[in-house]
Amino acid sequence: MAIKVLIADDEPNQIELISYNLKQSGFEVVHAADGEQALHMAESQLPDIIILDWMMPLMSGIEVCKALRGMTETRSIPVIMLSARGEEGDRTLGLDIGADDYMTKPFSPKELVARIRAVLRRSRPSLTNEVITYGSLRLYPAKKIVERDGQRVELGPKEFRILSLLMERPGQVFSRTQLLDHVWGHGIYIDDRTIDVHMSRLRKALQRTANDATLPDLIRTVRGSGYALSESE
Amino acid sequence: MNMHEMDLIKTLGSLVDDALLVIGHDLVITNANPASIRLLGDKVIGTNLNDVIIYSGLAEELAACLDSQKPVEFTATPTNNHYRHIRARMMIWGEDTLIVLLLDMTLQHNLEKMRRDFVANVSHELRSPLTSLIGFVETMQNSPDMKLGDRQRFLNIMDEEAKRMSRLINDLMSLSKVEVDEHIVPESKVFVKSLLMATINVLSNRALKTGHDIRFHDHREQKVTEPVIRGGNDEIMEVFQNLLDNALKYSFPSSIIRVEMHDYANGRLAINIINQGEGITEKHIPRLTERFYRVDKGRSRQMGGTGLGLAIVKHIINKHRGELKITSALNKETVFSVILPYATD
Repeated sequence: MAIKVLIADDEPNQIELISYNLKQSGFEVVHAADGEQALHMAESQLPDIIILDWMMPLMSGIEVCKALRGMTETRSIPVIMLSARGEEGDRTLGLDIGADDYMTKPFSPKELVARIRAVLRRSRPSLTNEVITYGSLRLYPAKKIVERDGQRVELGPKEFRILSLLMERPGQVFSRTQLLDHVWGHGIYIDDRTIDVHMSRLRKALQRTANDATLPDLIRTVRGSGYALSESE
Repeated sequence: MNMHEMDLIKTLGSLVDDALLVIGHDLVITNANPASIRLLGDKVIGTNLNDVIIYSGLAEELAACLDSQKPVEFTATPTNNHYRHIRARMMIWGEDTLIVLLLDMTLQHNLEKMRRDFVANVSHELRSPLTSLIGFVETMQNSPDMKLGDRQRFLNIMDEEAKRMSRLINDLMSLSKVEVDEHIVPESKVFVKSLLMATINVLSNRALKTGHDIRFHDHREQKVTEPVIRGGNDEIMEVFQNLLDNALKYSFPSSIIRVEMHDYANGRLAINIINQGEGITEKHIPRLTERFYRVDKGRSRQMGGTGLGLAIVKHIINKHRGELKITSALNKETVFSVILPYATD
């Protein structure tokens, strides 16, 4: 699945510029022309990263960023701010409000793509080619391989995706809804029990070893809230 | 303070434009000059300094002043008007008297802010088209196998943005020029009717394309004579061109644009440009002549507007000792009225 980028800018030519370059680099692009639309799309489309222009009608980039950081669903979506303002305190303000990176306009499209990749490496490693480790667990996003104690763990595609998400934020509890949105997509109806079944399969797969001995359980069920990667390894 | 000293203070106070206060025991104001009354209101004498200006560090400043035996300075806000910015200077006199001078920095503060905003706006307005230009140049340099359709589309965008920058720079130069000369009273004669007809002529081709009908009416008493004002031909033409251009841009296609001349009170001439369009809501009208103010930024950009046209018009009219009146409402016709004094000889 291609990485989805949301671009918010009130200048159609600049959306075209960024859009073309991102698509050439293999990203999927959606765009918004003002702050309100940007917020709405961030909530409904849950992009993997958001490129936010500072000066937009209805809601400024800064206000959108603040709002994104205030909602659970969008809080951890990385944001890169773009600004043509050129005022001195802007970069600091942007980063303080919660942007992950800040670029002034005019900018080099190549550099923007590079920064998108850099930000994703840190906040969404499962989308890049970096190995994610947790204790003795190793997850290779590109090869779609998981190893525990050096031994291969066999996982179905859904289980792999769930584990990727859990490993990005060890210890953080994900609700069934969040898992649903991430693995099956937004707006799809899946029974809660289906999720539980997949979690059960994941749990068992992680505990099984070559000689059928049982390793400690890594999946923690939090009653009434959801699932997390266990912090005690 | 004895009578003689108080008298001296009163005389000095009546000569300065800044608020001069004499403070006695317990920070009570014992004397206030006319400027203080203007700034802080009538009921100044007898009140406590803390009730008249807002500054949380007043006690500390007072202590510092006593300590160092030197004047202290700080910024504060008057209690009666939170939008004013004052610079306060304080010094001890004798045993138990404090002399306070309050300088009203509001105008300076606002001008500074306007200047900062203007610079930020210009920066933004120039960087935006430049972003597209630089961005697409790099994109095309890095994509030798780009599809022809994309190539064409991008070259068109670059052309559009380059022209946008050019128009902005022209308007900035126009604005700059008018501001510098604004105080110079024009001396040469301008034949308004001929100029107006010439402007309508220049725009007639465009009007044809959009189906607009520009109609001219002379409603003056002495229709036979040519109306003459004192001014610069090029500048007055720029005003007419700008206003007619706006009328063409923002009115309904194929509508009628009326250009009318009237005699106006106190020996003046009024030129009205009236168009039928969506109209302008009340709240926007006082701000239309502000630099870079647009009712709809996206639409303005689409029309090729820079946001400076009306600011330029306003400055030219000011220079010519005239007035600009704008009347409009949502879904009503819009009237831009230029009022200029007739040349007296």
